[in-house]
Amino acid sequence: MAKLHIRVWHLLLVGLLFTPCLHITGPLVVSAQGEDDEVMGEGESVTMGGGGEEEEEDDMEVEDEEEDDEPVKAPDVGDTAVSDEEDDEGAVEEEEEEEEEEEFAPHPDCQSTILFTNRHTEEFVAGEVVEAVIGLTNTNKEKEFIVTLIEGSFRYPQDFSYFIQNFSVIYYETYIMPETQASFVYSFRPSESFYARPFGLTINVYYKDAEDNDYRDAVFNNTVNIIELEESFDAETFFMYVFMVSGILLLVFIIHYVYTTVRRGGRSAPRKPVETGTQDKDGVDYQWVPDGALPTPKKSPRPSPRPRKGSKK
Amino acid sequence: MVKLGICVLLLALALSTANGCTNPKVKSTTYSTENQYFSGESVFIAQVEVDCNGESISLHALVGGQLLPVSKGITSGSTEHFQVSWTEDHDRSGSREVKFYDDNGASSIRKALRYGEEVTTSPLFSVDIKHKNSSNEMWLSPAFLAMIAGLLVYWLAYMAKCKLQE
Amino acid sequence: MLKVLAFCLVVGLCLPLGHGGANLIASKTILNEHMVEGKDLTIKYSIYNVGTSAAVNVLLEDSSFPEEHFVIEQGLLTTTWDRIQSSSNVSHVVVVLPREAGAYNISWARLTYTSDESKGMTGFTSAPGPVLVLPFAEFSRKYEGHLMEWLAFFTMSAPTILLPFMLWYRSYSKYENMMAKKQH
Repeated sequence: MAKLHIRVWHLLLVGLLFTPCLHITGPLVVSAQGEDDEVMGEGESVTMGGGGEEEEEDDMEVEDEEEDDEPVKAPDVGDTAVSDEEDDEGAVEEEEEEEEEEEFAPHPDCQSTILFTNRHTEEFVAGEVVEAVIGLTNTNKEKEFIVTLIEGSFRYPQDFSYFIQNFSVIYYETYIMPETQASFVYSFRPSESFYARPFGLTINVYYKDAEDNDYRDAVFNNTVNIIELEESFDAETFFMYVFMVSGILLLVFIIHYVYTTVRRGGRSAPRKPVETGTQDKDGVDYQWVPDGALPTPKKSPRPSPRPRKGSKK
Repeated sequence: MVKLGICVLLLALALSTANGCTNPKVKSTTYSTENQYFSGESVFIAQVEVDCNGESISLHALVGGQLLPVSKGITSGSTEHFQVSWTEDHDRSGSREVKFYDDNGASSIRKALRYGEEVTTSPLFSVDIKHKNSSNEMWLSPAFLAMIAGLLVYWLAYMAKCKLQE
Repeated sequence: MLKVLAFCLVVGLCLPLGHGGANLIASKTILNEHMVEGKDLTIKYSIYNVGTSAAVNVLLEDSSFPEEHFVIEQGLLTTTWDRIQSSSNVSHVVVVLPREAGAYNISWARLTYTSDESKGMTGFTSAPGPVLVLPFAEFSRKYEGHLMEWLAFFTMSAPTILLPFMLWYRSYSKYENMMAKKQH
């Protein structure tokens, strides 16, 4: 009549049974992430001028790290980065982009230059930050420009309207007074999974003038090469090797163990002498019974044998 | 007479320009990144105050086989302030030597560097920047050590208890 | 050893400035990972001449670190260079200490220079923008290794462990001695 006492460990065991239902998904390895870590150059609106002493209080445009996750559709040249994304998204993106590109053009009085400061040539290392300094010069004598934002993106080298990776947009809200220049720092990081391929890199500067006309200047619009990161020590691969070695060793061990037990012909491990206790017909071990109390053969028909005194001890 | 005067004037001019700066009075302060937490790269700054008898000079600095430009700050009286600074990756500890040259010295060094020759001109003065590469993080975190110590104590106690129960 | 910034100049769709003049672009960046009150704040100015001729009498003025909020540890905030050759760059570093914790907005520095054709230009460096300076206690709590705290912890918890241990050890050693003697 044992009642079912539910213990805590019963519940834990039941919980264990449900663990296969847990579905933990890691980050999608393949989808490109528009990362931008070191956002240098935040937004502010400050009046800048050649002789202007005033420094207005800033309406700070807090920088926004917009991460546009764009799907990767790797050109099928036998690349390992394969994704299964729909075509629709790409097509829609294309259309939108084309519309936008038609609208904006640069203003002739605003000239720009760009310089990549931590890469010597146009070769970027996948996964490492690339820093670019963009200089804008306002050659107009009267007009002032307001730089609103700078954005960069990786595109398909053969078709610059197809986006592969979008980098964060950095908002400035910086005035460029007439006949002055301003510099901006834009840094971005090509995703680690892109390497050994050429990409088209486009960096656009969006600015407007006092009459709210919008302009866009493609400060950089060329093909760049992404090269692989030269790793000195990669913990991931190191531990992968450790894991493989240990797996092999485990296999060897199991084989060895099975082999030795099979040889002995026994199914299980060699038997240990099992303690079975003393065995007797009646279940009585007469070793322990003192001699006086032993049932004697019926010699004396005494009805009640008195318990003997003087037991041998 | 006039000719003599002109000669003297020319001589004086020649001397003054050729003299450069032979005996500058130099005061220097240096800085290098000590704590890696506060800088992504190792930074070296050498600031010098030079009094060259009121002369205005421009300096160049030779650091590790490279000629760096030296910026000049405000001039207070006859003392001129100069600064040389550069950044490196967090690699080496040890001091860096900064040698200061004037224009002539700098051009001779440029020539030497271009042809790969050794630099033989002696500097006007030189400054040492001591650098210690240190990071705030310890190699083994104290939390980890504390955990190990705790486990050790527990294990010893457990062994003792088992022995008692035998 | 030093980063040789032999950079590659890429000009976009736009034309270079004027006909062969100097063109300086400059970045002002904060090298700090963490900004803590009373501790070094490292600012790096990099000036690049992307024009075709040298820039002369380059003056860098930075007024974004007022004396009431920052102590200048090392470096000149107002400084000049005689010449910056074309396709070359100059770097300048200043170290300041913020006096108090809080949010600061680090703005641009002004560059004034003359291009070879006696044309004066004014430029502005990039601005790091709003930064947050942490109070030292918060920084120490979050990021520093807490060796002293651990030592204090062990010192304080030692009596509770050592006292019972000493008691046990005393009786244990006596017992061991007894057993040893008995066996002999």
